Amino acid sequence: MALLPNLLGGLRALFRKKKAEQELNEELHDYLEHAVAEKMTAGMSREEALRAARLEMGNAEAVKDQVRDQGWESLVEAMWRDLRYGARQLSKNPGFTTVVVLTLALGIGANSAIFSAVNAVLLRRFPFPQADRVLFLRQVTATNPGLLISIPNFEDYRRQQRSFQQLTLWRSGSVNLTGGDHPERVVGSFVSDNYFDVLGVRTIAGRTFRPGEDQPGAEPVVVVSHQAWVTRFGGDPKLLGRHLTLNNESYTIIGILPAEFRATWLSSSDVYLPASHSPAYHMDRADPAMFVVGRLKDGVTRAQALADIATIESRLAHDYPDAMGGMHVELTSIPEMEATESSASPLLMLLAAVVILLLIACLNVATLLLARGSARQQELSVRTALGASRTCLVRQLLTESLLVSVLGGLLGLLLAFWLVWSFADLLPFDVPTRAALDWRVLLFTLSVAMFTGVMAGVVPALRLSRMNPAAALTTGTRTAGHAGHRLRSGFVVAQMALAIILLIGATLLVKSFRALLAIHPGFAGQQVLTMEYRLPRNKYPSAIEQWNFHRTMVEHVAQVPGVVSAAVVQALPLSGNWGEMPFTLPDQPEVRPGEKPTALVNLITPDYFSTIGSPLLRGRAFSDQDGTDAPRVVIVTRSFAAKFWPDEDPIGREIQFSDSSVGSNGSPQVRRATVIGVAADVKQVHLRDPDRPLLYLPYSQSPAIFGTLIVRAAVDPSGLTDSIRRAVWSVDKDQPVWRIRTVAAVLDQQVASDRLMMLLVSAFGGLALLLSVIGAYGLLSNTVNQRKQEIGVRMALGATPSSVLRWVLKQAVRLTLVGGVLGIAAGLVATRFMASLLYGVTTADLSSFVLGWGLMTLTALLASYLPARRASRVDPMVTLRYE
Amino acid sequence: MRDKPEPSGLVQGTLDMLILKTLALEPMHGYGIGLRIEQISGGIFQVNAGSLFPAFRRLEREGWIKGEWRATENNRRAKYYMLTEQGRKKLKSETREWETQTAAIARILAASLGEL
Repeated sequence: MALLPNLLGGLRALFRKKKAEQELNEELHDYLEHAVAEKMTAGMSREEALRAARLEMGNAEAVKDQVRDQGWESLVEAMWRDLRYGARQLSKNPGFTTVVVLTLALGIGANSAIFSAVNAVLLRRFPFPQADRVLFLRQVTATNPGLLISIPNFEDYRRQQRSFQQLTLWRSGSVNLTGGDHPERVVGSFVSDNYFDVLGVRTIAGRTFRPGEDQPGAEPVVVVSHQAWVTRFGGDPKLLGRHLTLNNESYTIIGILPAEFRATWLSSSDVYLPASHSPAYHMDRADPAMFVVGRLKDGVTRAQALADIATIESRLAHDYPDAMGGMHVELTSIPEMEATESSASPLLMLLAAVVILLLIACLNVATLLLARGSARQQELSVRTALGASRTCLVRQLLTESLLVSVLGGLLGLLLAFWLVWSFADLLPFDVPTRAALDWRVLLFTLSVAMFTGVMAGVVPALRLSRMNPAAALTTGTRTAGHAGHRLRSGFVVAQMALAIILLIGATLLVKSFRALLAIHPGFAGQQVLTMEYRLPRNKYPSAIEQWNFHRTMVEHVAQVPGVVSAAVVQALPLSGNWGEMPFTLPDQPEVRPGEKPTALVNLITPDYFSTIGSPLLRGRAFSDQDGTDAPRVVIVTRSFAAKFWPDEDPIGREIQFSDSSVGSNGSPQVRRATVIGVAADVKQVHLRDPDRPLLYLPYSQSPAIFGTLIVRAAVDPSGLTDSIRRAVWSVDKDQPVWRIRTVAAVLDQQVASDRLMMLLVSAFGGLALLLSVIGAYGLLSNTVNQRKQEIGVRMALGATPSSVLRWVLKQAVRLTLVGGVLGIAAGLVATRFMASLLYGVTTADLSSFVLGWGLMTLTALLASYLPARRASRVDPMVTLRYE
Repeated sequence: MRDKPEPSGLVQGTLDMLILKTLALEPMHGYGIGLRIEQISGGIFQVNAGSLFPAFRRLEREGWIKGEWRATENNRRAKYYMLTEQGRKKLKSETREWETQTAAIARILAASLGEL
């Protein structure tokens, strides 16, 4: 195929049109001259020869047309002509164009905005190659997801496995950074020496760990993230070789990671430290200490790897029955680990909502195009009569609808950019949504715009091009085809049905949100400020030193003017921190390991209940008498007592547990503690959880290095931040505190994503309502306008204004009834997919359906009253005279 | 005036081949090509401008012929078409194809029951 000459010839014809035309003219002229000369040689006179030659050649313009049609450029020209014609048509009707473009921009923009979130969260790219072959090893029991694995078990897996290139350790945690003006907190990852080899990541400067650098006793080295390099160290080009004091120990910086290495569990830390420096690193086989991650060897399937690991696991279970009872292994890839149900289903619901909104916008625009089409009947008929083929007309009409949809798409893209830039921070995902405004979003928007243009334009184009020009030309603009009217009624009904789905969904979410707000978390956190800290283990190695810090700090903070009381809790309720531990009840029959009951566990200091505002129901709170060497005590929650000692007095009962579960110092010991009180239930993990059994232990008897300081103030506590921080530094000037926020803010964060869902879907529902009401109103007004004469005749023949009013309203009622039935039926199916997002309301909630349907029906009927009244005020004399 | 034989329509798709053949003899302008085809065919094929010029454009685009403005014998400017290397190859393959087909068609038309 001669592609190049074809292309060049076409381009020449397009861009040097005048020259090409001139040459063609000249060539034809020359042809004619030759013919004349030939005929004159045969004996004709010049005039005769010219006439004969012209006759032979035929119409020169027709020949030229035929020549032009040979190249592809003629199609381009036709499309360009259509485009210019379409643009002229649209600019002649600025009102129509504005409405259509805005409608489409709303629909497309909402889609692009939500898609950018989907793009960021669900279609996310991981900053290391073949992320789906990087697997987490898990030791699952009936009650534990088994994310953490003990170091001795890891060593055995690492030596015996055959399926992974390598296995590596990982665990993140807050790290104290000192040496600056104030102590600061950075997020650290504690990893094995081969961590970056497993992920397949190289540094942009310096190196990663050498073999052996993760072992205890090795020279402390640290790799820093690109972000930390830029924000904390000002992009210092001589950073390598500098020293950082982390957790009270001096580390040498050996490498800087690339900028893309961020935003996943495994890549979101500021600093990467050797695994043995983790406070969780213990050689106790019964203490699950760190995450284990591995990259599959090439050609090894997950099933093979799982079988391999399971063999090792059963060997370990045989050798160490106490530590490994009731476990089985599972493998989970990083994308699976992070694509949690909690982020997928709200996003997919939002996507469904905006798709519905877009469909409504399409139908709306299709209705408008049809309506305008009947007004353009004469224009189209004239063009048909002048020889435009049906293909020509369809192409022309589709070009117009594509033109408006592309304009709408561009505007929609601007809208989406604005939405994402303004509201990305509100999205409850830890993924950089703004960065996701990439070429995928552009491509998506473009495709949606094209799809919209065709969807909205194809039916009107086919319908309008099918007219009989003779009939249209003779009868003028009066006839609106009956079939066209039926089609538009169908479009309006479909819009109402779709809007009803969104309105029902929005109502369900509003009810669910109100139910969420009505949940009592079990504490009253007004005017309570909280902040977290973690003590470096090398500075506070013993239990007594740790306890002394917590105790002294609480005393100092309580002295700060404006502070009512202060306490330390290990895991603040609803903060995202929590702990769970297995235990046994000596007064109840013994169970096998792995089948032990578990409960949430929390460490507190004496004034905790009064500070956070959670009532103690029975017995006493912890006090100074429950010292390190005093008899061990425990407080249980109401639901703990109800579950394990129903109808009995829990006070004085005993609970037995291993203190490795609550952050041991040294070798773990089995402890036995007496119940001294019963506290109210609190929502520890999620606001919407049912009440879960919880045990409180005193910090004094089970010290830990991590704590959350809570401070109740007499006034608004945010002004106290600085003085509280200074009080902490008066105990240890190198101890940073972080996540400084009020308990009210913590509570609010629990419902933030639900609030956002509710607001977004309500906004979409409102838009859908508006669009479909405009659709219904437009249809009825148009009907009334087109049938003015008929109405006039009817009234002249004795119809009363009220009967005309009823006649129009009857049509409106018919439309809304059909739309309502369809909408409710579709809503019953559609809302089922929302079940996981709702709290305290079922998907088939009757009142939500009635409300959603009623809102649509009522608004549509109100809107149709206007054209109905206009119809009833038609003056028969005026319309008949107009005839 | 000489007695003209009844003109006949061209078999579909053969005009391109005839133009290529004409140009294989010598470069020629538009009218000359039409005239040459008519003369050689003994007046059987009369090709009018409406068929010729679109065909020129088509063949030019395919790269089989190319046009060049030259002075004519009576000192006017005319666009002369000539065969390209590709066009020569095309003509060869077209001719072979045509011969195969006409031979086959001739055999079919000449067939009588006895030969089957």
